[in-house]
Amino acid sequence: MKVDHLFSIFAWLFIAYSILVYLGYLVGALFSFLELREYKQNNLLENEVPLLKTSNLPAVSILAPAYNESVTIIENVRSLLTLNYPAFEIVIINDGSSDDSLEKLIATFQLKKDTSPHYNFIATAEVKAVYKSQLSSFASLTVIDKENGGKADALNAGVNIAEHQLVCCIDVDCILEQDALVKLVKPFLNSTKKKVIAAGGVIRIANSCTIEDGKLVKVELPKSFIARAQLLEYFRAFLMGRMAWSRIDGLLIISGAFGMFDKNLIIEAGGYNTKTVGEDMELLVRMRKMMRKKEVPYEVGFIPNPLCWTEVPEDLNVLSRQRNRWARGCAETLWIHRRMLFNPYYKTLGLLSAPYWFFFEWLAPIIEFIGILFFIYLTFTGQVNWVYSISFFIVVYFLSVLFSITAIFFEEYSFQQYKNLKDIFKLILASFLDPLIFHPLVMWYSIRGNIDLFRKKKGWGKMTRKGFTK
Amino acid sequence: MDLYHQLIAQLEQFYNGSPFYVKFNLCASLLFFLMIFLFILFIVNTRYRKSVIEAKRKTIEKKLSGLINEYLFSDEYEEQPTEDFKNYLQQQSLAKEVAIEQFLIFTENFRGDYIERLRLLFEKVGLADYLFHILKKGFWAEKVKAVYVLSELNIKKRDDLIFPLLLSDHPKLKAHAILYFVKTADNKPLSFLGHLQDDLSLWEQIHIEHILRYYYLGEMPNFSLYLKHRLESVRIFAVRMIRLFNQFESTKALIPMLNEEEPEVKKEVIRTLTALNIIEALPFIMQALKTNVLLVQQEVLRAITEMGNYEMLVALDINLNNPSLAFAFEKAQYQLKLH
Repeated sequence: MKVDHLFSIFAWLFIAYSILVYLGYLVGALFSFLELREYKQNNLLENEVPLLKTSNLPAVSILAPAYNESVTIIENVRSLLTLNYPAFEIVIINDGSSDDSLEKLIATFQLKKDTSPHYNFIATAEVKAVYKSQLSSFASLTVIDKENGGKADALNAGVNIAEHQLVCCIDVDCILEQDALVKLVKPFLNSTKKKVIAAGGVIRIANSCTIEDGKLVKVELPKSFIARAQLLEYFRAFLMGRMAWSRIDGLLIISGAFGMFDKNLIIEAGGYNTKTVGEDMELLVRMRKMMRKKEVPYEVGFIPNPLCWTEVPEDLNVLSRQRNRWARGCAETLWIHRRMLFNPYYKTLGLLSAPYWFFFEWLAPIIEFIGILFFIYLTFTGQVNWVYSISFFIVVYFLSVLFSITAIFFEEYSFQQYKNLKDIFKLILASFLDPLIFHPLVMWYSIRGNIDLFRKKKGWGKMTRKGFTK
Repeated sequence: MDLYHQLIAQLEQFYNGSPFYVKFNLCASLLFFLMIFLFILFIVNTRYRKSVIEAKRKTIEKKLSGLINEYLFSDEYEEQPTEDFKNYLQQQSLAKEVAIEQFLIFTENFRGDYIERLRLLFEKVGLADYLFHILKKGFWAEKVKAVYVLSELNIKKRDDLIFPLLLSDHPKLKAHAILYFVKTADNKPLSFLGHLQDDLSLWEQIHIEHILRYYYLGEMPNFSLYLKHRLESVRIFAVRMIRLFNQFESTKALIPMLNEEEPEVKKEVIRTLTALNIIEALPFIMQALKTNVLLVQQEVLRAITEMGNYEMLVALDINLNNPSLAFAFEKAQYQLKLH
């Protein structure tokens, strides 16, 4: 076979792949729209007062791992204590912090060592002590002090201690809406025919928003382009992607920043996997596989309301570490559950979700990167058909912008968090810049994540935050 | 103009001379660009329409509140304005929507005779008929809204249209039909339970409980009548309500339910007997420990912790092979020692 022919095959493969990716996005957008519309119709007359007044609402244990969060931990715990929910406990897991997080918690909430028995249903790094508050106003607060073992290990320690049937795993520095738990618990209340194993919510971006006393008081558009591009990315991922997967019951991930699970099922599945950095995705996949094996009808709920707000990195080094970790987490989970790929036994998960994650989430940056290298080679060897290349680039560019604009439309259609029309225009402008500036960056960070994976690099990397506006 | 024509001609020439894949790319680019443009227009238009609708809404609200005030409080009330408003409503769907919302707000803020008069006005302006029409021919989400409004305004004229919705496949429609029958009942608010085919969701149970506690004015039902219902969720609900409304007279009917097969029902019975502090039921509860279901066994241990003593606990004939049960036992021991 001639080299020319080989190149031609390559070129057509890239085109076919791009068409498949975009067709997937189009179908996703359609399903998301249907799901959002149905959610809005279902919740039009929703009155949460009965839920807040009953004693029959399932109690929830909020699990929040903390590592060197001394600066914000007290404010964050105070904020969690004021959530609107009839029965909940907060379990802070101090994962071997080297700062004074624990001392601050002990002093502020008058914590005392709890001598009641505990059982390690899931093996974890050594738990040094469990603390409870002596003050009745903080009776719902428990603090675990343990040796450092990573986020997954900390969550497992929290699951072991949790008193209640439902556990809500959050990032301690996230800002939860006051009614976040009441909304997230709804999938567990509505189902009669299927067991709800988990429910996830939309994560929103809190950069530049006004936060007072740990509560979000004013939603504002992030000021930096990097944060705005991530805002668009979150719109696409949550309002388009995950809503669509939720419609066909194919969700493979519930964000580690905010998700609710059935505690007994987490224990039965063996807890969070401490060997991967994508522990949130890996756990849900394992739980789903377990339910399939048990042949118990089940579902995973997803709530599109903006319930949890987080700060995204604006510093490129921090962004790079975060995306590197996400790429490794995705690849590790897909590798651990590789037998699920195209396996009809797992139905939607095996035939749609897993292949999608493999081809369009993990492989996409790799193929894109190879495509760029291939294009550079063709340029240097003078084999580029410029008319064709430029026209193809324009199609891809406009389609990328179109998806971001569609995501903005979904936001407008659903929750309209950004009230000022100027903000929408700024987002539209960001949509035009995103494929040229932000997208190549995240593609490169993913490639580095995959390289690190093959070099067996482990760990989370340092995640620093700017902190919220006061 | 010449320049424009020249440009168009050159573009045409370029397009016609291009291979099919370039033509395809150009057409696709144009299509996507147009879609981007349309979406942006749509977003801007949504915002604009929202402000226009808001202005219209205010006008309708003003008209209606004038009419309601006159109808409720004026001695010189005339039929003509009502007729005019009815005609006005018939022309606009937004007006109907806003008017219904306004009636709901007024109903929430008035009591006694005024509610009855509001209801009459609601019917006079044709809104009740409009809702009945929706119940006959509407889309499910519209029907849900109609059932909700009728229940809030306590309009019970067409139960026959709502009754079939109890068997609806759509969960929200079924849920709101249930709540309608509870909310509009003067007595026997749970009589609809006999017609249910599908289990009650926890959401429905909580909302029924809420209406019974805060809205229902009649005699509280005897929940023990539903302890033998064919649906497990109804039995669970009845047991919970016995606990909530302290129906001690029903506790005798609860004890035989400790032999139920469903662990969830058993668990709920034990919890209720414990909450009502029926100490004489403890021996029967301890019998339930023989059930090899963790959920029930844990509840029995909790009951012993609440109503029994340390000696009772250590005298139990219990196999502690299951770590969860062993842990529950250890916890019960710890708590009883503390006391």
